Amino acid sequence: MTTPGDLRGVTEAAATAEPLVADDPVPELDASTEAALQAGIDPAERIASMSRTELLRRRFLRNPMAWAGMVIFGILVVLAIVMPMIYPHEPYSLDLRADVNTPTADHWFGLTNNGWDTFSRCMHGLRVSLVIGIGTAVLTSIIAILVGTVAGYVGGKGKLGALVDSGLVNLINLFLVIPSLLLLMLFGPILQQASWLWMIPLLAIFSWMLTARVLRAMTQQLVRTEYVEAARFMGVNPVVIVVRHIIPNIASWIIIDTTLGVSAAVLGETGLSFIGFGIERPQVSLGTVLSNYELANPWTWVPAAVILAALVISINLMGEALRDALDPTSGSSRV
Amino acid sequence: MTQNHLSATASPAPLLSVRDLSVTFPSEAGIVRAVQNLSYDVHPGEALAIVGESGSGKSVSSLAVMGLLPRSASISGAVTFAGEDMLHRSDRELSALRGERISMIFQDPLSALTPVFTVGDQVGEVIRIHHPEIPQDKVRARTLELLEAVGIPEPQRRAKQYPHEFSGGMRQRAVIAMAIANEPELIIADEPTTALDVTIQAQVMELLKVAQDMLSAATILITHDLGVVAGFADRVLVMQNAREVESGPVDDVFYRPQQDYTKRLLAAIPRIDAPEVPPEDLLDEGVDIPAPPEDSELAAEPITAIPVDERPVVLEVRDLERVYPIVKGAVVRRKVGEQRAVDGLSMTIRQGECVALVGESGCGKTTTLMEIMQLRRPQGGSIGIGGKDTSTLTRAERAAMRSDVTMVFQDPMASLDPRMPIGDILREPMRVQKYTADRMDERVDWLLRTVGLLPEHAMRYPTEFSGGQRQRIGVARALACDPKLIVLDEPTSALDVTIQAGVLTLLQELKETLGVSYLFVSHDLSVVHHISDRINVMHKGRIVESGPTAEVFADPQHEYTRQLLQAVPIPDPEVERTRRRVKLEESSLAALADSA
Repeated sequence: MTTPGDLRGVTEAAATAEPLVADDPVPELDASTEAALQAGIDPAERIASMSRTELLRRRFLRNPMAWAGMVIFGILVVLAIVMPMIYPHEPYSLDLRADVNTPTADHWFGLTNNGWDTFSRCMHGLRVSLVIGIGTAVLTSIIAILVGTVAGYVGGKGKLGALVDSGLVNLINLFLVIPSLLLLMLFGPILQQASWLWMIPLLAIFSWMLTARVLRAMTQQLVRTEYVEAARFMGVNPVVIVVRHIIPNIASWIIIDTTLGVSAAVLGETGLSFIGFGIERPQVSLGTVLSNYELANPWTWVPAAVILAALVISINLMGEALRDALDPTSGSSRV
Repeated sequence: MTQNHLSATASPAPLLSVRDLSVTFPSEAGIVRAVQNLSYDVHPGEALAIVGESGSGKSVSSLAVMGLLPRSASISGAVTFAGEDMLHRSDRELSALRGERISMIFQDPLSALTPVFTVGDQVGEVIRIHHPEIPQDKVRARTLELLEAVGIPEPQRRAKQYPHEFSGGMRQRAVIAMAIANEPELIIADEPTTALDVTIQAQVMELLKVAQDMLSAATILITHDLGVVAGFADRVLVMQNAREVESGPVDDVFYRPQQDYTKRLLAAIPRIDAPEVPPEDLLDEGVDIPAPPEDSELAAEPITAIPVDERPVVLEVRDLERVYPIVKGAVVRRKVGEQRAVDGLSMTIRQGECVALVGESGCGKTTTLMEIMQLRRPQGGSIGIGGKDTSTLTRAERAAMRSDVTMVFQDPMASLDPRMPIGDILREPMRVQKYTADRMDERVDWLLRTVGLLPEHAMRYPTEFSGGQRQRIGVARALACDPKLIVLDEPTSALDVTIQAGVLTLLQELKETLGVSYLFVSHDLSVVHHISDRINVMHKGRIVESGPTAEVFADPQHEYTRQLLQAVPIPDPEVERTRRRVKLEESSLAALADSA
């Protein structure tokens, strides 16, 4: 019953499927099964049956790193929403009455040499960075799911399918070899003139490729499973098969990838803004705040750097905890 | 080996002694007791079989002996091997024993071999690790001897091949070669034949027996199937729910079982030597099949009244052919040959009939099924379903026909989408046929009751059910839209013997009360024995023998059919001991023992 590869999964199997539980090690073929069925109690109920989501939730919450990540991220989100509403200064407003640049009760993080309020800029920047980060990650995942599942599904279906598959794979490869930074620098400022939200599709279009490749491989694996085959033999429409059978079964991976994608997108956007090709006036991002650093006045750049680091680290902590919770070999399955 | 039937007090010190062994695992649902208070002895040269269903703790107990359990397991009790304590040793000390004095054979020979090394290297590695002083060329020579001893033809060439180039049986032979490489005192074989065809199973068991005799090693055979034990073991230990149920000499357990559970285990084995006794439904889950919904076309009475020959034909296959080209070359692909997977196969199934298609892996059974299930024009020949040729179907006709031919898959774990509740799984085929919501609800209730589950189960997910229950759900899904023909692809080969009996009984009852027709594909003649009306034996893409079940069993005409019948284990120690199926080169093993 046990192959070497299964060894690590023994506890896992015990947690989910094995009908052996302390004090009541009676699996379903006990003589009392019939009676239990009559009474409407399924034998499985005695195992404190647990759905996958429940299992995942418990493992996730057992991880202190997950808590740290959620708390930090929660605080940052609340700050980004609330602070710009109640803080009296705007990012680009000049306070001509202020007599010092250093942090004061009025200007919490001080001012830059040209009179911009650092705290206000940080909070507005955090807002923009969050919106762009989350938006880009979601859009990236959507593109990747579309391309990945379609390529993976049609790949094994006849000559036409193979053609579509290889076309999509070549598209992925094409996007991988395009010098994306140069194109971002080229299009960034142009699209900014319309709306700063254009940064989202712009960043997404250059970051979906690796996810799509992985999803394609996962889909290829799922297409060969018997339940997908069963659905095909029932005459279920291919689009329905992908939506109903394939995407739910790779959803956990997509969620992790999207979470970690948020921090990647935040870093990408701040990087671009820092070198001057990202978010432009009248919007601020953490990157533009950082780019206006004054080395002698640490209050102009330390807060933005700390917030950026806290944001990225908290997202990564949550992503890692999510991955650990989903991966039975990672050790969080140990009670 | 019969001298070991004596009780433990009279015989010399046991090689392996397990006392009061308990293993527990922490889990989300609380503490799981995998093994409780297990005690047994294995004497030198003795073969002990540990028998139990999945989850009875039989594998965990032997892994505990080897020190291979995950760190989260807590183990209590005492395990002594050759007088030395095993439980409180470091992994390094145990590693010196493993492969040298104790060796293990795992269930799945594919995952037990590393795909990136040649088979010869892997066998040689076992010798080299424990005897680094032996020079390279001697290791190589010994490797070849070993491979030859376990019956691998052309060991020179085979040793240079990779595991994927070996068939399942060959791989298990290579694993056995690794296990006996250092002439261990104890071999632990964990379900060594469960993943294999019956014919290969017979050969591997025979090989294990010969190897054990020649090396006079003690063996622990772990299995869920009492049938394979009969000819092999000296003593049998039956486990259920982490505890020992019964243990004793093999003859006692088989002829005079003391416990009900052992009796039921024995009764569950399909017997080809006793055709009048059907395998008994151990779970007692047999249900009265409720009357189908009024709009259903399933009903037995009008069908069983008509003699078989006059019933309408459900499936007619004529000269079916499927040829795969063998291509070579990465840039310029050229055809270098062809694989005739199905080569002129013909068969007919009439309504209410169960026709079995029997043959070992690679004989073209699955290809035949796929050709039928595609509902398209086959490469050669023709397939007719319900009198309609599949090559002439329009798109709409084909979609409608999807409900007439349904399939039950081999692996109940893989054939149900883990992310869908049972109710939705059962509704899926009906949704394709555009049933109304009310009709679907009514059907789901009926289907669940028909296969012995409760309507309330519709809300649950597949992982909450046992293997046998999942296979029942698979059967229910196949029944959903009043099928004319259900194709069963080895529906019981992934199940324990005890659960297999329950599923077979269910299929039999469905056939009798609802009049459905089956195409039952299997590699095991004993499984189809009681359910099929006619048998087609398939070998290398062709049907080599076909006829009514009773005739084929009573008087097999073709050599291959006889081989298949011989390979089926008979749960009777006396009979099994006299059946020597495979004549192994015992001399080569003897030479091996001398040269070591």
